[in-house]
Amino acid sequence: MIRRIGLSGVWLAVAFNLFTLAWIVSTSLRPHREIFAIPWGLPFRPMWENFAEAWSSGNFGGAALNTILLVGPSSIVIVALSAPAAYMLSRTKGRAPSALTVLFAMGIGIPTQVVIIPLFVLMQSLSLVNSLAGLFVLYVAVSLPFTVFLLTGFFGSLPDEIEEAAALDGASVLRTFWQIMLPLARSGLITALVLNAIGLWNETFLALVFLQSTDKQTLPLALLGFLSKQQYAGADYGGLFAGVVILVLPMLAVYVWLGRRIIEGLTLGAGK
Amino acid sequence: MINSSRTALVGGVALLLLSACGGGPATPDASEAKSFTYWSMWEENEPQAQVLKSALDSFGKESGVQVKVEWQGRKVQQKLTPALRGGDVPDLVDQDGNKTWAPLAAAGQTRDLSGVYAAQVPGEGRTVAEVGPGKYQELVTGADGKPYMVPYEVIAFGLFYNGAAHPDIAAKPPVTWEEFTATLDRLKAGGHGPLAVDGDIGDYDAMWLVDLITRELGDGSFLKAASDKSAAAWDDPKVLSALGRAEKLAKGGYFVDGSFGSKFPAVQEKWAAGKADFLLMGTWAPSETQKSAGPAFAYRSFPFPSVGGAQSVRTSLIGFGIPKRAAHPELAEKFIAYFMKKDVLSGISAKALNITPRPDIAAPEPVADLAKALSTMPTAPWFDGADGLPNYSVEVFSPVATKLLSGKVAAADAVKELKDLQVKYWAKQG
Amino acid sequence: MWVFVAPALLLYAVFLLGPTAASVWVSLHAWDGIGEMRFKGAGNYTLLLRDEVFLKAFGNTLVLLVGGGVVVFTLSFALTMALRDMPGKRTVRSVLFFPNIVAPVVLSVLWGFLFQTDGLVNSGLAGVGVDDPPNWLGDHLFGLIFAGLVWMNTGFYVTILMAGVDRIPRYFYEDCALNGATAFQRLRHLTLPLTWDVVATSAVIWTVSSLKIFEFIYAFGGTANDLPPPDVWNSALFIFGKTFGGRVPQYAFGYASASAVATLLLIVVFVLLLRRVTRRERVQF
Repeated sequence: MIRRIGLSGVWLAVAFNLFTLAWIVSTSLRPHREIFAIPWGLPFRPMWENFAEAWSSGNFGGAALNTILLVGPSSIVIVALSAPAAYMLSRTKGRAPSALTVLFAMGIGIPTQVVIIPLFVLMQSLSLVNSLAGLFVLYVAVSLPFTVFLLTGFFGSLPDEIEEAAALDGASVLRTFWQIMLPLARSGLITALVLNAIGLWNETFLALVFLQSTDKQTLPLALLGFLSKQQYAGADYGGLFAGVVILVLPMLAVYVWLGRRIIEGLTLGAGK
Repeated sequence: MINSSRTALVGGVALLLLSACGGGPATPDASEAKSFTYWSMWEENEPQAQVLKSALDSFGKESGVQVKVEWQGRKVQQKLTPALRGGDVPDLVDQDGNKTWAPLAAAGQTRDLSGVYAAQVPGEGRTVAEVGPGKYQELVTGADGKPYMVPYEVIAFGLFYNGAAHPDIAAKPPVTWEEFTATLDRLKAGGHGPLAVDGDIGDYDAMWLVDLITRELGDGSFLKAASDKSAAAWDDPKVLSALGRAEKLAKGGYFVDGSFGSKFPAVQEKWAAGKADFLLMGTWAPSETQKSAGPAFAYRSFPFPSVGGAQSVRTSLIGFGIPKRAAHPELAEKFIAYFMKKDVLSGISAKALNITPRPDIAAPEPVADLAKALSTMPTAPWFDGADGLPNYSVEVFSPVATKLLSGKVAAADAVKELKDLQVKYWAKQG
Repeated sequence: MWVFVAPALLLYAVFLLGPTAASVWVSLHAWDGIGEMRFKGAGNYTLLLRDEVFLKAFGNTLVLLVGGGVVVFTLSFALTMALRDMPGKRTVRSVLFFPNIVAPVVLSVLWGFLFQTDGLVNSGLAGVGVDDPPNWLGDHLFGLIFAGLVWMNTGFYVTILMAGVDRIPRYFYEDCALNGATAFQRLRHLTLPLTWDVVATSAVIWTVSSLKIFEFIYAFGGTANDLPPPDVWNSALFIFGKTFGGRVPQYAFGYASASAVATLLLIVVFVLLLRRVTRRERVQF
């Protein structure tokens, strides 16, 4: 009985999400006027020009390139820096590692709007404003807390015996980490990589404040520009949704492609 | 600064303190002084950007000044504030007057543009103030009495309707509140609510009440009442009478179904689709709804009707400002004066379909009615100027306005609630 | 060992902790972000206690944190249990995760069309004979926002919890079934203990990240310029409203910093409590 309710709950949620996806895609192909007249209508004559409009008018082309150049390397560097830290924090007993773990966890909650001005002053003095390299550094820094905290869970769940065996064999800490623990935590690292990539792919506020030239803007900025342009210039929800689809589809592809890995990764990293 | 930035790596606090003292105006280098930087509120392919672009080109050819433009779009303001904190600032920025410039002017971050108003418009033998912007100077003057902005686009507020569907109204638009409500009653008899408002936007609800109150008590009265720390100004019986008119609209079913239960822009879209007759809005309404209104829709408009006294036109301005720390303010000023030339500025009307501050430039058709009203009636600032009170609208006035307009409270209770919120509001302003 | 932690810690300290410390300092001042700071001592904090708008936002933050947490985790558990041995569960999980990769502004448009006066929900209600449906967006906006956030986050935590449940060997459940355990007993004596670490980690992540819920609420402000009504603000919205938000931004960085510090302190308390409550011996299996 309970199972039946649970199962119908699952199917209900699945149906609703699929409906949402279908609706977003369908709406991206409809003219603005009809979207409001009949919100749930279908694109009988698909308006591909919505995509053309969003792509050219939102400057999505260059923005896509910037985003890829930014998100790819920063996700990798985030994981590369977080993994050793998380490893140490989770494998070392004592007060200091525990306190540091909490310190990293707290970092997840620091609201960007509040630190933005001090951060800007800092970036300015390092000459890192209006540069993709500067944003790259920031992306790495602000993603560290979540990633380190998540990865402590993964490393913590690895059995102690392997590490002890390695120590008995006389392997250095570095070697144990590099050759034994890291491969074991592989799926956890991929999870962290993908979750960071998805998060940074959509990051708007830091990019908004720290990138000043339009040729450096990222996809979320392009979407935001396209969205806020509708004020004064005219609303076009078809184009807006096309812009969103452009933003979402690559991530959807990454997610579906790596989705299995994520889930397996989370499986292994489940414990802490 | 270089030494202090080293310390910054050690602690953000130290850095903050050190640089709080730094940052004087950068000295222009004479050799490269023939160029300046401009951050625009438009995206590159918008009509306004096209007009500005060709103006920048011809200005460059005539004066030899190179302009480095970043088409930032509306988010320009979020970029500007941190940038003012330190480092390179643009020399010229445009934005909606109140949104960017008023708070910056209050913080002493804007350049006094009196010089531009007094400057000659090239080749016309008249000053910038004389060709038109002078009329609006008062609206963009800071507490220190100095103008911080020069407008190139004027937004006027009024009631928009479809002249093709209502030729009778187009022939004789209502002037007084009585005429207006008589028209509403007639339209309502047709079976639908004649008024459209996206009630989820608090400021759109507030707009109705601000107009009703100032029409009854005079322009500036709203700002005065809102600034009253005891909130006693709201006890004026005329306030109750003004809010009573709103209550009548609310309770009488004059607002089209869904006005207070939808998400913007749903109701505006309904209006464009002909399901409601009047929309109280700024002159961006035609371009914002053009995709929905269809070719047969004839945009017509009139200023908010009078209640006993005279009419005025509520306006808000889009224009240029110069940050105080700009490195090349003189060049930027020169461009502003250049942009005010009739043949240059007319692009804002002809291509961008907006009203310009120059009365000798014909306004585009969809907003011509309000442009005409602008030339004959006095102007009053958007929100009666009370949008300068920090968060006053969102925390105090709009919530009450929404309740009253949607019929949840009666006028008398609205006054009580407003007073209560306002007293608390002022108690916490330091 | 410090070699391993140092790079991450250094970057974190310089670019996040440093500016945060600066914010704590700023929270003792009146500051517009541009000009000179004016020292106010604890003035901003005492003001917060009297500011009904902030208290409301703070309350909403708590409702989202605690109430949202309970609902999200209950639902996530229920869905996870139902999903456990379902065919095609991988696909199902991916689908449930989907709202997390879509821009919240689009989801808010969907919410608008669903719940507007003549929206899909009310049409459905009319179909089953409800003549006077509620004014969802007008009267129950926070509830709708709450529901939307639950919807998005449930997918996220199902994915994580599911991962923990998947590690439990199947024969444990088969044993249970043989012993005639009820679904609730299975949950209590098998699933929960064996996934306790995942639950604890997720609980901390939810607690801290619920603080930063922002975009979906902000999207109910109407245009990109407008803030939603203060009734539905959480502290992130409050901070935005005091700094960059609204038609005329406030740039009240001192006050906003104070509100952020206050909220962050609350979270520290919650996280420490959570870690204490959830501290248990790891069950080896």
